Amino acid sequence: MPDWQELVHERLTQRRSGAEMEPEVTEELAHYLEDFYKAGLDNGLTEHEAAQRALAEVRNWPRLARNIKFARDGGEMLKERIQTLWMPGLVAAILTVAVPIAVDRVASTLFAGPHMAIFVYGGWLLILTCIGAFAAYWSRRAGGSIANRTAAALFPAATILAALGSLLTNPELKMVVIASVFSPGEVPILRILPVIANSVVGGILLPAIALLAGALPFLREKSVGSSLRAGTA
Amino acid sequence: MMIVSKIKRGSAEFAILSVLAEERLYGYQIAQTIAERTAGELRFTLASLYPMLYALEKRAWIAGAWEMTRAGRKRRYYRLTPSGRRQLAPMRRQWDGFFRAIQRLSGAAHA
Repeated sequence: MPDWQELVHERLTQRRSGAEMEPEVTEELAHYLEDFYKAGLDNGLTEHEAAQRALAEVRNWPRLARNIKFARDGGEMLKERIQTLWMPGLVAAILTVAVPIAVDRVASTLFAGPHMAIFVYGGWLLILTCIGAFAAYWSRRAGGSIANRTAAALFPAATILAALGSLLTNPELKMVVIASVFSPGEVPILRILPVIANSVVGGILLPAIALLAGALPFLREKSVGSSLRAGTA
Repeated sequence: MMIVSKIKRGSAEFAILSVLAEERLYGYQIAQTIAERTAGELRFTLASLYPMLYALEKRAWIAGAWEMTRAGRKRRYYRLTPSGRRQLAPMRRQWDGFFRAIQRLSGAAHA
């Protein structure tokens, strides 16, 4: 009987396979081939025929080594996360930033007046519902779970939160807050806190609600794509 | 050919999770059980089975552990995890729906 373990080890680690295989993988694959080989013998094949039949289970060893390494390193999961979360989320975040600029330009030509800011903000929230829907739809099409679809839709709000968070941790702003505590007359803290609260509500909370509202129709049923995922079989 | 690849991938995952839902099996047994139950329509090779087993294990839908067989051989047995079981139920519904849809299409084509 061939030394299956040695044979698998040699073939998996041959040049250009690009993968150093763990011994337990080699052992497991060797056991599979051994079982296959013994089944061949039980079915009346000669030793040579049974060995050839077992070896025919793998046409391309370097490719198998790469596929196994990819699967064991979590490459499948990473690829899936990129397709169902990062891509739709990032595009949604870019649109969230880019669209208000366009809206602002259009609105300034249409509603020049004291209420223009409200129109622009309202228009932005309306567009955010479309962006939320778009991100969730994209994620669902790519086979994203409900959690990934929600996260993709909320990605722009998370980006704004991160930006605001980095502003709040800004040393200069901290100094202003500290200064306001010690000399309220100079920088009244009561004037700073509403600004921060307004930013949180108007810049994160309401946009998040708008994004989620747009995403809702695409969060209902589990996607067919998640079980019909692309890949090798 | 994207859809063929997707269907192959999805059906392979479903087949593995389905057989492991009933009992724990090692790699060769998984391939044999699927081939027997599908009358040879679905057949795994070593090259198609193991990358998928490891990917499913990485997702924690299945878990593998070395054990001794009744014949005294060391084998790595796989079992379905609670997370895998949760994935399987909606997968079954989706595949049932998918095949019903295909049958309706096929029926309409032959009518």
